[in-house]
Amino acid sequence: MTVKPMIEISWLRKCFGPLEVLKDINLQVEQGGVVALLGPSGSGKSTLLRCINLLVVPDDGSIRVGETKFEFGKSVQQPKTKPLAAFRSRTGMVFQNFNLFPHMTVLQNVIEALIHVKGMDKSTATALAMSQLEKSGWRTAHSRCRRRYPAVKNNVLRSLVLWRWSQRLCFSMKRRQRLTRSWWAKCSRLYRNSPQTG
Amino acid sequence: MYEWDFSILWGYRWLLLQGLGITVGFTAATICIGLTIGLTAAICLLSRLRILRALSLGFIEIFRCTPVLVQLIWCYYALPMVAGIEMTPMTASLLALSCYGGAFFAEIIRGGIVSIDMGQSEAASALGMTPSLAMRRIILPQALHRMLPALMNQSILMFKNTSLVSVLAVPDLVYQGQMAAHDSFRPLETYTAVAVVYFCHPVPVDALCP
Repeated sequence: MTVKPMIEISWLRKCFGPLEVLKDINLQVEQGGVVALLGPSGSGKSTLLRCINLLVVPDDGSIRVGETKFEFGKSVQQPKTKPLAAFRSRTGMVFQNFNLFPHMTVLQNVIEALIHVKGMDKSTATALAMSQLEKSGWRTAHSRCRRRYPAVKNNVLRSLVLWRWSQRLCFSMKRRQRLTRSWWAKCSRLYRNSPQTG
Repeated sequence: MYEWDFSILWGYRWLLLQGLGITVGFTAATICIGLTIGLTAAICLLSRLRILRALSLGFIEIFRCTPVLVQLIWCYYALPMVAGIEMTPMTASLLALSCYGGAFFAEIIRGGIVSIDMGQSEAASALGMTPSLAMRRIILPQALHRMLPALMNQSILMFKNTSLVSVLAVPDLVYQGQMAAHDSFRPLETYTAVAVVYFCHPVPVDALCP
C-alpha cells in the first residue's frame, strides 16, 4: 500500500490575462520530502508556490494539502475567507523579499501569528520563539552583521538584540528571522521562494 | 489714533472661557466622530462590494465638495424638514462638522492604507490571518504612522472650522466674542484676544507631534 502524498496538485492552470503562466501542472510531494523548483525567471515558480498557498487563486485544477482539498474552475465557488485563513495557518511561506512587519521587533514578528492566529499565550509563544531564533543561528548572524557594520550601535545582550526593530536588520538576519516566523507552524509544508535569498 | 485697551476684556473672562470650553469640546467630539466616520468610509471605499464603494464615494464627494458653512446651515434648517426630526443647533453642527471632517479623514486613511506594500497583507494572510485581523494588526498600525502628519493637518482645520458654529448661535469662542464685542463696543480688542486664544491652541499640540 502506498502512502498518500502530502501535497497533491492536479491539472493546475493559471492565466494572467492572455498569458498562461501555469499549464496543467501535476505534482506530488511525499511527507518529509524536499522539493526544489528550478526554472528561468518568469517561468512560474513563484506563481505555483503562491497558488499552493492560495495567495493566487488558480483558474482550474485542484490542490490537496494534507486533508484539505480545494477545487478550482469556473463552475466552482471561490474558497471562503475563514477556511482559507485556517488552511494557511497550517503552512509556512518565506517570501522572496521577506515582507517582515517593519512596525514590530524581531521577536514580535515571530510571535505575532502564534498569539493572534494560533491563540497561544504570550509567555509560551515567547519561549518558543526564542528557542527557534537561537536554533536558526540568529545570534551568530547578528554578531557577524555587527562586525560588518560597526556603525550600527547595539547591545551585546541577546534579549536586547531581540528588541531591536526588525526594519534595521541586515540581509542575512532578515532571512533567518523570516524563516523562524514561518517555522512556528511546525509545518510539514514550508514553501521558500528563492532559497538563496529566502 | 485708536487707543487700545485690553483691560476691559477682564470683565468678560468667564464668558470667553465658557466659549473656549465649547470650542475645545466641539473640536474633540468632531475629531473623534469624524475619525470613526472616516475609517468606516475608507474601509467601505476599499471594499470588494460595489454598493459599499458607491455609497462611500457619494458621501465623501458630497461633503468634500460643498462649503462647510452651507452644510451647517442646511443641516440645521433643511434637514429637520426633510427628515422630520427636531435638532438643536448643537446636534446639527456636530453632525455637519463630523461628516465634513469624516469625508476628508476618509481620503487620508484610504491613502494611508493603500500606501502600505501589498507584500505586507500577503505575508499576513500567509501566516493565516483573516483580512480583518491583518488590517487591525499589520496594515493599520503602519498606515497610521504614515497618516499622522495629514491627520494632524486636518485636525487643525477642524479646530478652526468650529468657529463657524457661531452662525447657528452655538455659544463657542467666536459667538461669545461677538457678545463681548457688542456689549463693550470694543470689537478690535475682543477679536484680537479671540484670535490669540485660537492661535495658542494648535501650536503646542503641533510641537508635540513631530
